[in-house]
Amino acid sequence: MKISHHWLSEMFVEGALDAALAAWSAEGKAAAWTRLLTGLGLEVEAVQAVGEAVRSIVVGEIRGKSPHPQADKLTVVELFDGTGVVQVVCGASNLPAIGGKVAFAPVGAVLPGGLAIAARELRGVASHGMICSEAELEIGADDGGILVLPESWRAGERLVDRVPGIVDTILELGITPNRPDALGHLGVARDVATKLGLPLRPPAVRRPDAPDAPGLVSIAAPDRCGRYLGYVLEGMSVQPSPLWMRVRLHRLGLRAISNVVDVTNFVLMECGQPLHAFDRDRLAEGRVVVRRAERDEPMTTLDGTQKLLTAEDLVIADASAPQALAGVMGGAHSMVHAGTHNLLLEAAWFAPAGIRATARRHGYATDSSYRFERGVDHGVGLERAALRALELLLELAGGRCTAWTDAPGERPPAPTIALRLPRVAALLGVEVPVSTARAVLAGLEVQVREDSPEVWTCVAPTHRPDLRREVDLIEELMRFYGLDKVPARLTVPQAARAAAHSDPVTELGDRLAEGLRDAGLHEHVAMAFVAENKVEFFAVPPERRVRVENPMRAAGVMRTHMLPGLLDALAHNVARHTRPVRLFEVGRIYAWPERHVLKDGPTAAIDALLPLERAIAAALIYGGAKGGVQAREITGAAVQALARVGLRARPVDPPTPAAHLHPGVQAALAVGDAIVGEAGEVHPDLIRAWDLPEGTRVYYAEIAVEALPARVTAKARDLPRFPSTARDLSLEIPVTLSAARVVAALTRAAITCTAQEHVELQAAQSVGFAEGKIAPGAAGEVRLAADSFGEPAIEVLEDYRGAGVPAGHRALLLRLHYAAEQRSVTDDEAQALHTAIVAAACEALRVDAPTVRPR
Amino acid sequence: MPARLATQLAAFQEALARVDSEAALYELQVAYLGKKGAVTQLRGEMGKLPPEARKGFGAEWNRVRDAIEAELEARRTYLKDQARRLDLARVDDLTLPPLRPPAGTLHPLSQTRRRLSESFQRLGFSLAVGPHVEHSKYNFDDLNVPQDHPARDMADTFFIRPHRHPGFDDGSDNDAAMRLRAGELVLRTHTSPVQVRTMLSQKPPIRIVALGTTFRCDDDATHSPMFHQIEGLYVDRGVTMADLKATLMDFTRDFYGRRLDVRFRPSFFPFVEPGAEFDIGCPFCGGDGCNLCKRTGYIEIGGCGMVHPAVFEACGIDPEVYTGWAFGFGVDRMTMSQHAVPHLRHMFEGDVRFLEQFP
Repeated sequence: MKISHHWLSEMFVEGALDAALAAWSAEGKAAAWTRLLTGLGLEVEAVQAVGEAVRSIVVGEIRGKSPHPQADKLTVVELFDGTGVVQVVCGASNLPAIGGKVAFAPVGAVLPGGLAIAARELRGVASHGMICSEAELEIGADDGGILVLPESWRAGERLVDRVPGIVDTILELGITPNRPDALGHLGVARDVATKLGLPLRPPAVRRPDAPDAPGLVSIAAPDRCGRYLGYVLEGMSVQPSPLWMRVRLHRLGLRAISNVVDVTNFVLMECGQPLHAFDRDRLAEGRVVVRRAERDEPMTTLDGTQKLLTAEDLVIADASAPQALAGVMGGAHSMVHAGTHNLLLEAAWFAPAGIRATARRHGYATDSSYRFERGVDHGVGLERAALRALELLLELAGGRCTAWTDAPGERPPAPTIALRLPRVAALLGVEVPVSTARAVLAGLEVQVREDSPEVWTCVAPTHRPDLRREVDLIEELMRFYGLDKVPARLTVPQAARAAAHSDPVTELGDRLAEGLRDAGLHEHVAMAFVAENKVEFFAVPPERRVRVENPMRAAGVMRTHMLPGLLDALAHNVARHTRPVRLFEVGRIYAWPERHVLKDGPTAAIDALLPLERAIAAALIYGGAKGGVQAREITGAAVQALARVGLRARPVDPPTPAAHLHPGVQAALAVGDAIVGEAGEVHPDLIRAWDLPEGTRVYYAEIAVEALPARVTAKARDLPRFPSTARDLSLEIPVTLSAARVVAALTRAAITCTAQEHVELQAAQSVGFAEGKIAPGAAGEVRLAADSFGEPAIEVLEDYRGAGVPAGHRALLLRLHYAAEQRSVTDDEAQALHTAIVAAACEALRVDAPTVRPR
Repeated sequence: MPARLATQLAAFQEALARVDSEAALYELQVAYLGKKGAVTQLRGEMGKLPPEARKGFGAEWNRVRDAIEAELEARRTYLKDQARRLDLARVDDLTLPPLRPPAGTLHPLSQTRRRLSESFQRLGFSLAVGPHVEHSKYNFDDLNVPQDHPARDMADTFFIRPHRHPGFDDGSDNDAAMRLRAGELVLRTHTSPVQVRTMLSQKPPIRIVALGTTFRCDDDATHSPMFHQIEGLYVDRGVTMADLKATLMDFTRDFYGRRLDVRFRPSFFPFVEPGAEFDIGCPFCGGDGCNLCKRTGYIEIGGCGMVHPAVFEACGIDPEVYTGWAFGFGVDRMTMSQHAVPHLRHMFEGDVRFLEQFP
């Protein structure tokens, strides 16, 4: 909202505002306004001094005109500037006749745009100054010709003396939605008056001396229209507004149109009250009806668009058809035009929610709807605005008011608020002096009845719909007393506080992030929404995707997977440099649940309506243009991240293969029996879909944060006192048989071969191959040794493919360690057990892979 | 000295001069003083001498042996010394690029979020979380932002397309109630719904911070449709705005390492009353005025205020018994100014050349 300093000053006794502002602060106008208004919650976003350059512009009188000898479009003008006649060359086509008055910039003037006027020759003819357009003077938008001034003005008069407020300071205010009153100069002036202790003196208005005409307005929807003031004006003459009006509107960013329209805009800016003027001769029966529209009732608004209305839209109709979309925009049929003579002026109060709904429904956002939906005054301010417009219309467009009426609808009741003064300190921690409270409420025109020293009964004025409860009044007191007076003081004993705690999923995510960082990955933050085509590769079917109704950047689906975001980042990197890209992200993925999930707790009913959000830690590794990354680095990163949260993970065969990973290069990540994630090479189809170079190898892993089992505190195992003995094993196996399965088979075989003697091993066996804990054997018994974590000491040393191994096969080199309690193991007994285990394991593996054999 | 002793001594000394390693020195020692060494063997010849000559020979032999041992020791010391000197003459340039595992980094937003979270936990705030896809009741209604109120325009909202849960089609009583209407689900426009969730779920005293991802349809050089917020809420008996100011100042001391001034400016947020924007003394210049605070000595941080009684009422907390305050601010802009990040887009592109700058 633009606010003019000059306009504000008109709301006070002449000179009073400038004096009071200077007394309040000596820091200069811009700084003083900024501090004063921002301190009141009317944030000053910009301050601009305007019109200074116009000081040198004077009224020039045309004494003679002759065509330029060298140029068809130029005229040589003899111009009287009040002291003498100068010769000026002018290119405008709208030069007035001899005796006409124009805005003249003499030699030495500097125009607002910075153009310095000097004597110069135009195509061989000397020109001593410039006749200006209003655009050149930045006092209007019209750049089609020069500014023609009233003939009554005297040559040599300064423009600044003729147009009050042409030199001004414009304040750009950010008005919060609770302050509709501050969307006009009067409302801002009221705050300023209250703050500075100045009496507010807005321009005086009076009711017209005309009869009440109740038939003029009928309100058929009193719930939507609280009050409608209608005035009949006759004998008007529609023409351009005088310069002061045009300048005033231009300064606030409005375009001057005609005196009638300009007056309604002027009052909008002064009082914050939208008005509408109908051409009454175009209204059937010359009257209006405020009613709901018929369903699909057609209407053309004054911007020329045709709308089909709904039964929820409020219209101002004449006896037959809608003539305005109430509070939003006037209709084309009855709009004021150059030939309008008789007006019906509307000043009304419409229910805010309905205006907002209609404006949104039909895609309008007008100065009018903006104010109505925030709530304009339905009390004295409404009539004040109407009467102010009436005065101006009669002044600028002639004519007279012949009838008027004040039609009542249902106005919102003014709430009666009990203000308990001790409550101010209880809420703010600071006392506001009673005298200040009294002055502030009086300045804001709140009616106060001091029932007791502690409780005041207050009625808020109708121009402040935001004052509804006690806290609203407390805020007003604080706003004017000064929010900066709130001290910094703890008012609750700190001992009363409970210990702070974190959120478990956030904690886990943070630790996983640290693990991935330590694995050499950089954390990325991707948008939570992606384009539909980026989620098609992933398992969530279309009906379970969570969609955004009004997406940006065409990203209309909440991500169902972390990989698209990481691939986007990878593609971004690959397009810009050749370095390796190692990224991770800890974030959420979204999907509708497959079934309705019943929840517990106070938010359960709402939570049941929401999609699932799962926290995922995801990692991506790409070796750069030179390659050189091994697939196993991705499992390494994932295992390292899980180690950071105290979990020992290992890759195993995926229970079901992931479609977005290469079918031959993927694993599941297991912690104990639980599958907590996946890892593998990104499927070549995705590499293509993301336009990455053919053959690019990218590795991806993810961990489902909420799926992680609780951390188990490590229990120490005693250290072996006797050395173990190792036996190597080279197994020829199909390439598709995983090392994890070979190790599992060997573990199971070891358990079987020694199970009879070891109860604990049987227990271990029952949990399946995934967790083959090796327990200490009976004294002296040789067994497969355990590593520091109690897991079988089976090392996978080498994966050999090449000469000597049949096609489709590989040689896996393993090392198994054997030990016994309280003694060393002999070569013979180790070999015997080893042979037995290998035989049993191979037999088990051959069920699925008949070609397995030791080499 | 017997000639043979003298010859051996001379031969030893000649050989010793050529010895250049401890191993060779040991060999020389064995050759002369070992069991079968040349000098050792000469001692066996003492028996063949006449008795009167034996004593003199023995003494001479001892002298030669001592001399050889001394010279061996001296040579050994010399060789050790020499080896040490050589070793010390080695040069390995440790100013070459260090060899380390590839260095990873946490995103600057994460780093700020963690620091904020730790700071507020030290000040006694527990971490609270909520969903990103939120119901408008928690995102708006219960926060005193009614439907069809212009305050809803303060945040351009992303709406989630309604979804019919399978299993709701069974015609049961709650079928209609459970069906979602358009505009009912949104991407949370702020972290404030976590306030509502917390107040619905626990009794005062409540002292929480919610830190997380938020969304608004806004996309330009300074606004990302996805951004991050932190929100604090304190509800108890006797909580005042003075307490809020003191707490925010305590936060600056913990977070910036020095207590900075906190300044309130009146503003409007529907869920607080009185509402304010708060600025803090510029952490970069300490309030003296610099480019980052545009010479004002203060930087704008966020919004705050006393919890609106309508919010308390929506959450089942009696505003006559309890008071509370809330504050909130954006994490992204704070992170960017902290690290002088030149463009917002860097934050979400995932360019490793950017990310690696934040160890």
